Amino acid sequence: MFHSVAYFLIAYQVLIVLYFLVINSIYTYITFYAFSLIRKSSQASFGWERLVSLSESANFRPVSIVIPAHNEAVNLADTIVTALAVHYPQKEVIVVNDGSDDNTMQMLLESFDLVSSKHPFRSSLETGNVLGIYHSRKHPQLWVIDKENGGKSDALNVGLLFSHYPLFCAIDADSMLDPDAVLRMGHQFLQDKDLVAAGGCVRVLNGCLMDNHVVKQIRAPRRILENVQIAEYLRGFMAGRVAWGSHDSLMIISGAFGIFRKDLLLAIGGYRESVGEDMDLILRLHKYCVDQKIAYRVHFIPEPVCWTQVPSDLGSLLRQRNRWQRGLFDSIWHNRRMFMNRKYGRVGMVGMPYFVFVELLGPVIEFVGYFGFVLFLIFGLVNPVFAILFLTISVLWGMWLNASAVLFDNFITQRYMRLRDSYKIALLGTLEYIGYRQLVAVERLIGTFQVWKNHWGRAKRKPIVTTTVS
Amino acid sequence: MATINGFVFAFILVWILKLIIAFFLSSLLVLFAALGIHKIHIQKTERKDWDLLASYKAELSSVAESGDKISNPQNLADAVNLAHALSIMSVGESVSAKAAMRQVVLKSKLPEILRQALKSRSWGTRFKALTGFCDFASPTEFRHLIEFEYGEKNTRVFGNGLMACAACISSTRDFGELLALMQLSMEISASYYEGIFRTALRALEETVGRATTIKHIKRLLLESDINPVLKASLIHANSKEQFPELETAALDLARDVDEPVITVAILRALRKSGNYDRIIEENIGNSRQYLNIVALHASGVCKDPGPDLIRKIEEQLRSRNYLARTAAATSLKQLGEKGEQVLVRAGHGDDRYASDISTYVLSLG
Repeated sequence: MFHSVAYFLIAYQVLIVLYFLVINSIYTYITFYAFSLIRKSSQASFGWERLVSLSESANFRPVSIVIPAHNEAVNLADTIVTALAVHYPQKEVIVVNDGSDDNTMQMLLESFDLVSSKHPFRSSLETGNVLGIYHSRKHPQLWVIDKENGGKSDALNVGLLFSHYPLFCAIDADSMLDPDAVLRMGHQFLQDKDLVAAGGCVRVLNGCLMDNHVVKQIRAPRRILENVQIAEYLRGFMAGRVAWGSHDSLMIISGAFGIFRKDLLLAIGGYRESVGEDMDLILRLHKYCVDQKIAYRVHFIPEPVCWTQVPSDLGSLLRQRNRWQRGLFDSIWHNRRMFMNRKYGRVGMVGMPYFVFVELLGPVIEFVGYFGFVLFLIFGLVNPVFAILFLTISVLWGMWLNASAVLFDNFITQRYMRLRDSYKIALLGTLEYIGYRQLVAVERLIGTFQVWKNHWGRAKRKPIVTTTVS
Repeated sequence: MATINGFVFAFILVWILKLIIAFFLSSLLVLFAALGIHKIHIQKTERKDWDLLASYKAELSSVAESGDKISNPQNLADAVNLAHALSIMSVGESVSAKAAMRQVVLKSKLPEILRQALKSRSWGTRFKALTGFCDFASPTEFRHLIEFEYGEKNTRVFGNGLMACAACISSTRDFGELLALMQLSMEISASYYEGIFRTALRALEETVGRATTIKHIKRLLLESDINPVLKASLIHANSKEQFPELETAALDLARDVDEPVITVAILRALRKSGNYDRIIEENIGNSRQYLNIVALHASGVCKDPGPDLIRKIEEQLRSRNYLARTAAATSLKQLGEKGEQVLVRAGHGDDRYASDISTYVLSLG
């Protein structure tokens, strides 16, 4: 009995150490590999003038930008104006009001001079009832669909069915597109005939200053929580997604900014009702293309940027992370046939196992690790010098990864012009490993046991800071 | 307790762990310091570039008149700045003034520095040098650039090189050589080809004159061994660069070869010029929807539409394809009174599709 317990404890400690080593090694590899790719691609990225001259060509595929909105009266007008201002040869903007119970619809009617339209709407997917279709007299490219509340996936499906163009771009109602964002993405679709879906970089809007609906001054926000999320986003998007995309194993394109081939979205039956509809969609796209033997590519492009607001209070942040965890679980469970299935290539053999063991089970393992660590120390089952050194290394390695991601991004993209902003984000970003990550891990653990919940929860919206930049 | 503690106690392990901690701490410090230095360096370089560009611009405007020598660039960054200054100063200038400025730059070390940079192993450096050649736009560099392009493996550098070649064209022979290179080369996007042709057309027109340019392009369009995608891009470029004289040649081509990409290109050119040709009518109702839609769009700008054309557009109001119906309805509205009468009639008709779209387009006011 005594020996069994001893062996169990040894195995437990070795497993935790191994898990930590493997995960951090993967993160380190991803960070360095991704930033070397970004550095190369940014060297030959087209400048604005060259891009604009390219956009004069008639070859760009027209795009429908769809914005699902539920109780988004605070920032929706800004989002629509930035979407309308996006530079693209042929586009339309479709706002789907998903049964808002605030004054979203009223605001839309007044701000954009909407008139009821007799435009036909025929549904080939099961969606909630459409209450009305409106067209803007002020902006002929703008359409608004008013529908009964049915959730984000339902709203996106209505937008998908109504859209007229071959490319479908989904953005969040609290996100702002850079003027060249869609053009850069459209250019990729032009160059790569196998591209079926592409995701752009999502950066944090909090703290930035807007001028005439364009992000003019990119600054670090005041709150620690927001700065930590900037570092987290940079690591996730600029490192993680670039690396996974280049290995043909990209499993998620953020719901905040992605462009897809409309015909394929319709072929897979549109969005599935889920709190992780963005990841689920990409997994089903992979599955469909492989099953139908379609040559395809799902890619992440770091240059086009969409700015989004991140939660500025702890409650909203934890609700968001709980929802992400539930979405992750739901998407993986729904597409579980792809897990370790050689038929699905790298997605099945590398991407899915990574998401299951690192992203999905990560919080469980981390929580058990922290819990065990405290217990072992209390009961004297581990050498305290080793334990403290190991803990220091694990925290430092994480801090080092976060700081590297922020600093590499600053080296390459030069988005944050002021040195103090770069330092602030890099320094505060390192705090992720002291309290923030543990708190989020606990919330994600709770989320893992709440998978049956299929609601989004309410997020507090702050108005975007607008300034006149001299 | 016989746990992992057994080897954890080992002195060496503790030291290794301490070393790892020291590594992380020191590398973090190095990263922070490097970022600071990098930012300051970038700011200095940008400021220096701006100053350099301004001084080159000032120098160019003075030496072009006096014929003096311009200060020699010292490195690639200087050379690219000088070339950029030349391109900015050339805007709106006469051909002779441009040539005079270019002559001054030609005497400097700029061509030598750019050529040297093309030999670099770093593709970023080669890319930058080609941007310099693009701005320099000197016919003397054309041959060198073409030879470089045949050996270039990197797609991005190659694409930038094509643009540089296009900017340096000075004869119909050069144009032919560029086309031959594009035919043989790796596939680049059609939009990019269009941009290359637009640059090449401007350069050719400037050096050999409009009449020779038109004559040469006409001949190229009718040559059978040129890739249809390139021909279509050339038609797009002609249309954007305002060469209406080439429309007839493009129409003849479209009739001869029956290539959808070429038909689409000529239909778009007709839409831009507002001219009518029976090719529009022939393609309305085409089973290839993209041809049908482009033809419908082109029909909307016809100056004097006949009854057959209007009847054909009217048929498309009943199409099951939304884009075709919209294009038909919009074109009818653009055609004025005759078209609007058709829309009013269709709005009261039995066909639900035609009725919906006609009422909707009429309601737009």
